[in-house]
Amino acid sequence: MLNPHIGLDNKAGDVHPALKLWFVLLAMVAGLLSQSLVFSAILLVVCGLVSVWFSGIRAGQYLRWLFIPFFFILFGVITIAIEIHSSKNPSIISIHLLNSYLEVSQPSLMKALLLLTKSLSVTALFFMLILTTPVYDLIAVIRGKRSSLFVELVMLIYRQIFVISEVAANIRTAQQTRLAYQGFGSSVQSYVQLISRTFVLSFRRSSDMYNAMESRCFDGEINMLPRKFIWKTQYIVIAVSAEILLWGSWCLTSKLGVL
Amino acid sequence: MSSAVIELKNLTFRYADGTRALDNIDLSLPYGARVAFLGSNGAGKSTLFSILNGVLKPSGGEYFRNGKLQKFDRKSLFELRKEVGVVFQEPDNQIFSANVYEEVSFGPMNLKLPADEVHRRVQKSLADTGVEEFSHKPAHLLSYGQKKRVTIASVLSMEPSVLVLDEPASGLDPQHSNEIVELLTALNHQGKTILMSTHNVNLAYAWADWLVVMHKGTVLASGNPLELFKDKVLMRNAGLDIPVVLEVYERISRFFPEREVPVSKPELLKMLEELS
Repeated sequence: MLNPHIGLDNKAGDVHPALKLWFVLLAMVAGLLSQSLVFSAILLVVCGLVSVWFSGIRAGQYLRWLFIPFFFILFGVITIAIEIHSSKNPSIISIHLLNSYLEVSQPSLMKALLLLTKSLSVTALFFMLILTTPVYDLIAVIRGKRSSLFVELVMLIYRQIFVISEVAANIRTAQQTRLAYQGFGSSVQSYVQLISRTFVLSFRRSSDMYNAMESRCFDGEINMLPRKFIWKTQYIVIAVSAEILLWGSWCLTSKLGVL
Repeated sequence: MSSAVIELKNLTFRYADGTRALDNIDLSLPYGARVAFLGSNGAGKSTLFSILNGVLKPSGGEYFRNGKLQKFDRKSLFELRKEVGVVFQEPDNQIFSANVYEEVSFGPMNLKLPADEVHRRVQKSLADTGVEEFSHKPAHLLSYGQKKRVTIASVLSMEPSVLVLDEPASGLDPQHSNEIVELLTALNHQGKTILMSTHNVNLAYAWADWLVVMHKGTVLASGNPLELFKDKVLMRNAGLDIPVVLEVYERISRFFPEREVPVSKPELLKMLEELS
């Protein structure tokens, strides 16, 4: 279900979005370069706590959201944890299958775990940014004073997600009031009608929207005045300190060769 | 120089499939007027409004603005859209930006104005339309009435001299509808010519000082609202009702031979009180 409130009404609302963006990007670099399970795990936990505290969402909800990428990553790293050998090697688990051995060795397990925590911590950083920054603030910062096709598309798609989902929800309600989605056959037929009707309506809407833009002297480039964000010294100090602490931990864990 | 802000002569518009949406329209609208366009669905009001702003190009006839023939080349269209702003009926088809402030800044930014001036205009338009407090809210969290106001603000920020609104009060509850009408009256007092299409004859009667009656792509009549509303044949041909205030007044007019015809409900109620 779409949550239109994501990124709004959070405790970090008056922090400059560029500061949040740069903080997260630099932290992501540290997360990606991490060779330490401990560092990635700490980063993951800290990100989770910060996200929940700043955004005000329930911890259970946050974990449910994080579980979605978790399962994708988990299935990906299982293939790294399991090695196939023709002869038996020292391993934690070993299964003899046909002429091969499916084995999970300590190094392969550690490698998989590191990749899992590393990927999750970077995802959690991304979540942190999204949960504390409205998408349009991010778009405004990325766009700056010059417009680009990519950013324009992101902005239009973000807006249209809500418009089209509303159209689809209305059609679905109209279908349900006339007993659609009763049984498998009816559900398939109703769903096909829903998709085709939503497509036609959104196509018409896009044409109307283009006309409305053209009526306001649209010249092919979406020019808008981004709102002025304020850089607050205290937030800069906190962000820089946190980043130093983060990179300090990264150096420490790398030098000491912590797991 | 003509006294008409907009003048149309034999204006015709056909859609690509050959449907004739507007048929030989002759129309002259005075400066600074509050014009109501009345007509049933399919009368051609929305098509005409799109032509007035240059989104659609007429298939035939002439369009004069401030006495000058309107051309439809790139440069002329820019000037036209700068001076004639159009607010479409469905706000979700107009608001493309995720954020109200940026949406309202879109028009003046396209006019290549300096950032300070754009900011000033955006703030003023947001204040005039009463959506200042939502300026940094995402569009998808606004109510229908708020979205309608944002669409008006997004055109007002271009400071057009003629504001065209396609059914601005449709889909709104009476309170929000009245607020929009009050806003349009205030804008008219600032010197803007306001063109509004509506199905509400009572609203048109109380608000407009110029009336255009359309039917099946033609203009049946244009002029003083009171005179047109009194023409019962015209109203019947256009499929329109007589405004309640006028209808009641006509029943009691013999008691007030010297009085002016009431325009609003309070004026009529006062007469009824006197009568009782």
